[in-house]
Amino acid sequence: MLFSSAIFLFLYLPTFLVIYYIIPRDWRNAFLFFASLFFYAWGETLVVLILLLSAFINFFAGRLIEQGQRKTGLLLSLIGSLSLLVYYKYANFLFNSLKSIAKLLMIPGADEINLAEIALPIGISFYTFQGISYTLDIYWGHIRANRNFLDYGTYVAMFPHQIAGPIVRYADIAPELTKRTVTIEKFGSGAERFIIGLAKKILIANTFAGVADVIFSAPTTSYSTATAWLGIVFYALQIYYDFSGYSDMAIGLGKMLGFDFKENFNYPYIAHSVQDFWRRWHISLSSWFRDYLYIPLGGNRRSRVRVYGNLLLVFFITGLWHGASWNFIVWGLYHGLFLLIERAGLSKRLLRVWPPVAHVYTLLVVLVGWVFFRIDNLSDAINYLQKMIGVGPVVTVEAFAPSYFMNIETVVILLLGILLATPIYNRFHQWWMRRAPYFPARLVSDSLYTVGLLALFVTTIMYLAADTYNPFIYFRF
Amino acid sequence: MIAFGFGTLLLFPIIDQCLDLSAGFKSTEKRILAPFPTFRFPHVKSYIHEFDEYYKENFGWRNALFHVYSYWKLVILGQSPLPEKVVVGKHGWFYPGNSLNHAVDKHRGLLPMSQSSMHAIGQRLSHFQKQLAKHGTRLYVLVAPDSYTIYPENLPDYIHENGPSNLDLFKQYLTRHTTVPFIDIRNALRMAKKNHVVYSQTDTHWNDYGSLIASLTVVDYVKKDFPQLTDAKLSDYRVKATNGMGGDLVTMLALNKELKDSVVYRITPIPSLAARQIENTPNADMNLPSSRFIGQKPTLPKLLLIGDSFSFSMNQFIPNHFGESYLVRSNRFKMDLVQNEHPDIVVLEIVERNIDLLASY
Repeated sequence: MLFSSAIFLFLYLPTFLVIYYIIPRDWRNAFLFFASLFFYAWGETLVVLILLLSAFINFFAGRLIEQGQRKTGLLLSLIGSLSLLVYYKYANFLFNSLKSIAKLLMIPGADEINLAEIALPIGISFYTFQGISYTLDIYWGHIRANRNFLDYGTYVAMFPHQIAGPIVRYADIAPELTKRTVTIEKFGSGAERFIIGLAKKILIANTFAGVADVIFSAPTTSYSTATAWLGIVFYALQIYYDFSGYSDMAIGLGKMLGFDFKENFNYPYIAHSVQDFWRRWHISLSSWFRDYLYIPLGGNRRSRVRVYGNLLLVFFITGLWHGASWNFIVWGLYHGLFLLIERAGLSKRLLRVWPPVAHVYTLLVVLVGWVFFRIDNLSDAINYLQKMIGVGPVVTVEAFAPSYFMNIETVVILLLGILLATPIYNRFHQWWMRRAPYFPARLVSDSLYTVGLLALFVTTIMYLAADTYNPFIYFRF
Repeated sequence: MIAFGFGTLLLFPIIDQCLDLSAGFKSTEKRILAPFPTFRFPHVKSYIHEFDEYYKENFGWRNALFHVYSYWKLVILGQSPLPEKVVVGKHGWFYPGNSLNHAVDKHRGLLPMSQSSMHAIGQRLSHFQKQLAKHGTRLYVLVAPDSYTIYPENLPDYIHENGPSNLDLFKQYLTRHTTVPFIDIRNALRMAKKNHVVYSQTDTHWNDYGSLIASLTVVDYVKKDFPQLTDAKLSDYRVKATNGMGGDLVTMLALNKELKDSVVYRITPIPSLAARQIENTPNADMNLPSSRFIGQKPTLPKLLLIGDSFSFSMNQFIPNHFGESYLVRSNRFKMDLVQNEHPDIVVLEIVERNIDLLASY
């Protein structure tokens, strides 16, 4: 079930919320836990057992650590969680890579061995990392292990954040797991955040996706360099609004249930260095890697060579975490390489140059990186990059000039997309709050904002309805 | 206020499903929407999938929401609500989108017919021609032009033709490499559009006037081989303009009540010409019935027309010029039909965007 599907919005969510608020507070965790399992099972049926198994391993490991069997508990958590992740997410990739190497080395029989496709359980990357952070935090003495599997299971399975993040740490929501309050204001602010997230996904990201998908699936002989740039800019905006939209929806749903999840994005496209970009992009993942991998590896405290090695390792795993294929590894290492260059001295120079120069540099690095993220075939990615620098194949028929994609809607969404990727609106809002502190002005602006927000929600579900409408020119019965 | 509004909006679809408040907004999808599934133990996965489909296509206010969406996209933003299905042109004109056999891409020259494809079609048509000749029957091929070809001036700016059209390539191939007669009605339609509108503005087909012009051009062409046929004269028909209706393209957009053709024509032949319909047989091929007509002079040659939906409106005109006519809607050439009917003339009609389908006719 996706947050942006009719069944979630108009059947699952209202039913869930009504029951959640009707039942006694003490039952809410249990209800949230079972409702979340139902949420996963709806799309995955028995694969939901992997989530339960992972949760059980880490819960048990946490108890072991607390009872003094520290290393056994930690090893159980790491081996148990990671082996599930490796098997379900990377087995096919590892097998195919080894098979390619064996074929390259002309090892007899290499061609005949096959591995059946293994279904990837939704959210496995997220709940694996959440489980590991839980046991590591207990191991380091930051938190106490939970004694109630239902409470811990609720943390792991909770549907608002499990499909697309953010990665929620147990330590951050432990108090709310046992005691949380929801006021009408908090529910309202959750609804506000959810509507904004849904609109980001359906109105903005999907519009950008429509353009990007056409460009990325077209042959490079059918468009010019300008269109190639348009494609990657639209994709960059698509992935930002798609992902941050999901995070907003998760944060909003969390608030409706009484949880406060941390922010996952902080205007990443205004970053002035790649390092800064990673402080602003998918914050829960970057901070997870920082706290649970980079710092344990020695962080910045080791020799320069070791620090560089650690950085590359972290970004190698970051790439691999996003997907089991070589293009994600290249994307991760590519970012790691720039972080390394910045650490070697570029970051100091970037601080001294005119800020727009640093900003353009960062955007260029990020945009080029997205090519590897978007195109899963490395040679196609390189063809696309060649097109971007104007050395790609000659255009035979220019089927997709930039003007082909430009209509009122895409232009307005593009302008909005660029504007909202910066803190301009946020600053305006703060300015307005200072300017209009008095009751009548605030009442008018707040009322207008509420009406606008609800109109935005209706517009969004209008687009969602249109997506389900599939008419035929002749009767098809 | 946000909390209350959000909660109410979330509940609206469920309320509508119970009370059917949005009954006034009907689906214009021309298909049966997914029904409420039946659970067959232990097929949980397929039940979930079926329920998802059911809910997606039946949630409360869906048709109303699409209607508003369509209006918003078209009237406010000036864009097609379903760009793959319908292209919005200028001056109230609509064109079929890529979902109809890549109509847009074909017009833009992005999918030129290959030599091998034309060769395959040429061979197939020559084969039909030989088979028919054994029965003393002559074969003709008629291509109904897309509205793109006759009214390119109303296309949106981003769509323009690049190089020769597939119809040009096909005609060239057929005339150079086969002896299959090809009836090109483009010029007749272009001439006719100076006096009357020949295509429906909101529909993928030609209108009755365009159909009349096409029919008369076919008769004119066939008359070269069958001089005994009645003359095809425009003056034998009375043309009356009246208010237009919403066609199939705007029906797909659920805007057929709001958007209509500026004009439609009621066309009647002079009484001494009118053929009589004697049979109307339901036809599963295209949901359009096959029709048989007897002309005023039954001794005249017999026509079998196998065609797509463009040929349907020709029912009113083309039978007036033959002794007997049998008009069948199909996308397959049926030799057994020819053997049963013993026609003197077989006309295969197909719309321009589907020429490539002739390879498997």
